[in-house]
Amino acid sequence: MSVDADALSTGAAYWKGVWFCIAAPGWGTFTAMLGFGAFAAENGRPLTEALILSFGLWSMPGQMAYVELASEGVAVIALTIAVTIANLRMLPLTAAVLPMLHGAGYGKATRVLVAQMTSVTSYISLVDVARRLPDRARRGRFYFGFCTMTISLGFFGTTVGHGLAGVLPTEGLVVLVFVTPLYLLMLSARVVDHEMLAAALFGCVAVPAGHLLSPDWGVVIGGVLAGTAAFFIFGRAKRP
Amino acid sequence: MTGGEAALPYGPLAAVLAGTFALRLVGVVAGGLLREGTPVYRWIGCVAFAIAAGLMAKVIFVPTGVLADTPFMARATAVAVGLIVLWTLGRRLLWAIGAAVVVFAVLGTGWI
Repeated sequence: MSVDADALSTGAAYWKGVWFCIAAPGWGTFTAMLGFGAFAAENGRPLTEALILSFGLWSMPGQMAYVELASEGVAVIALTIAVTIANLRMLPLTAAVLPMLHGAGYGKATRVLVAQMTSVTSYISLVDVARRLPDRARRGRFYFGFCTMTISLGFFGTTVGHGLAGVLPTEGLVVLVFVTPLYLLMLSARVVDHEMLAAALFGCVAVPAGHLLSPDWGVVIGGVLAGTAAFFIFGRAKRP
Repeated sequence: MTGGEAALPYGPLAAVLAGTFALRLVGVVAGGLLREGTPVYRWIGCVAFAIAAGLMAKVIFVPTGVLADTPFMARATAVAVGLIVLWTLGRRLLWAIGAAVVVFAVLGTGWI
């Protein structure tokens, strides 16, 4: 779906964000959360708890870690540390999103809400459209629309998955599950900035490798190394 | 099992939610101090983008769940075809995703 900045009013930008989400990544989120809902149900977690996790954490690795560890009866402190580590990437993601929305007219409470709604999917999509939406007010509305729709589909997916636990045709889900990471990977590869493209390519090697070496810290350490390497190797030309 | 009648563990829920919310709050504070285009912002942007893209690569190449039961070569070939289509046909996203999904459906599941 294209984003034509000149043709968008501020209000229309919100709905453009909603439709941009529905066009592909939102259904990927739906499918992923459908899987999470089924996983939670099969581990004996009530629907209310699964929905609280989806809304409160809004980050799949942390959600999965919680269900797995809580079902094993792990101590609260260990559970909290494990889930927080699993979600550590939300810190740089949030810090990267908010400057792209400076001037969007967000107050403090809205900035916190935007941070809570931010996910890997929304961040990659924001990077993809940011160049075509230079007006901050429109960009901010677009992002808000995108995030509200993603979360709505995530809730829907969690509920449906929880209800259908045990009867979901696993083979039929495989292609749907494949679409989300594929879509976001292609969005990442479409970025025109050499520095960011290099960060994505390096990350595609370092993050999976880091995860294999250390499931707890590998993702963040691999990402920091990959991003730093891309910045120093390909960011030179931009430096003042 | 749906566990629909189980009592909610409010303590553990509150603790894990607070932990992740704290991360986001630190991100809000850091994001409020940064400006686009500055070296520090560009570095954080590179790190965040590397993590985001890398996580997607991890899901595809080191998967858990249902994807883990599909052949690695099917996933790798599908991604390669998608990237070739993306970079040779004017960065058209839907063409790239469509081509990759068809390849994956054929090699990974035998659907087509």
